[in-house]
Amino acid sequence: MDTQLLMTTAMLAGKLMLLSGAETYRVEDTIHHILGTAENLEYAEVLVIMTGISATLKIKDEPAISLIKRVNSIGTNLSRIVSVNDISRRYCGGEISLEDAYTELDSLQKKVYRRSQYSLAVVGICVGFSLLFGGSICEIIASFAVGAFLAICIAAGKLLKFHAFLLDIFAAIGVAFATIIMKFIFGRHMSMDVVMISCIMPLVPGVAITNAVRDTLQGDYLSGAARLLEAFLKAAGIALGIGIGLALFSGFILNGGAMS
Amino acid sequence: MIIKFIAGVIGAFIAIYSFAVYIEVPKNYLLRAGLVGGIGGFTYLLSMEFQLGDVGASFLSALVAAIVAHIFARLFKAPVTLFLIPGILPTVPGAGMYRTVYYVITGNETLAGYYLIQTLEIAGGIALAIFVVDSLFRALQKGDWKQNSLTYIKGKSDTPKQ
Repeated sequence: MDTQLLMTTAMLAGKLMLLSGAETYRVEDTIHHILGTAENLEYAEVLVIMTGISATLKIKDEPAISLIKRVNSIGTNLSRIVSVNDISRRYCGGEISLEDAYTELDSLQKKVYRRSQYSLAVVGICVGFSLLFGGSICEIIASFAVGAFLAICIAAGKLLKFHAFLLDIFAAIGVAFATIIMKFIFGRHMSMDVVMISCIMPLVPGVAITNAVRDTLQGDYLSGAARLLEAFLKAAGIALGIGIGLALFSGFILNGGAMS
Repeated sequence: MIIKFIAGVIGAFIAIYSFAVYIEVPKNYLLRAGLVGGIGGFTYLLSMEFQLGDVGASFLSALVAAIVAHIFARLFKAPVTLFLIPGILPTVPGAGMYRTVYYVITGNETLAGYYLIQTLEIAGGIALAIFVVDSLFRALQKGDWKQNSLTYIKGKSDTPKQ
């Protein structure tokens, strides 16, 4: 068995999962399973933290191999986690060879959905939440419009390669701006609260909170704390954006700063 | 009232289905993720109807969503994350975050503090719900209910030696 290739494959699988927002214990588990298939294995150690992977593989009568991989820019792409999970399971179950597993991992597609579907999803989240929060026709129409504007903001921010924190602030300012415009159009029939709350939902750190809890629970305190920080930073970014947006535009558009 | 209830559940379904697209859940799991969200939203609205308060309703709805997510993960042989993240989303305290900032901007410190505490309580409630359900299913982790193993692949169930 090609030990180098085994190690590279395991690292690639781990990197892909970590990049896609998998919990660290799941990444460790997957790498462990892949390394565990080596013949004459003496030991395999894996350490995954949120920003990197290191692994050591020791085969009998051979020097130990260690690899470290730095991983930055963590996003969320659950379908890639599922694909890597599936490939690693099939490989560990002996259904595909190591070479095939590597090729499949290497050629995993980046995105499942087109940009238009992605933008439509943003609008869907806004409209759906405004229904859940008890919005009337007025608020649903408004959140549709604000959601569309938010989708444009997110797309523009991604195009300009904004840093994640900056993107949150930028998108939240967009939400505040569009909501105030809608309030100006609909007047007192529209509750600004419902629209604004529904439309920041695409930005809230649901993924970070969930992963923080699950990582901490597994004993990965470092990753748990890091994700908690990520969640706080995201929340602060949204809050800051909404604050800036309200302070900037409400005075101008809704004369006299009458916000309710 | 009943119309508002139905609208809320449909809204939760639409929202979570869209959110599942947003975080790129594979196509064949979208509907199931949306279903978990719908159930979470239903529990949330029902507990609000029974005067459980924001924190109680969030906790209960996260609890139910997490249980359903774990069951779905085992039924459909997919990572729990796939259903858990969309499932708890209806309860994530976006409203609390917004209100906190709003009252800071308008200069009402008392209400800002109140909503800040409430936001933290809700976040804590969600964390507790995930914790409880994860522990519960870890305790049940025997036989067919075991996750993170190779039992899915026929005839192979051993973990790697250390």
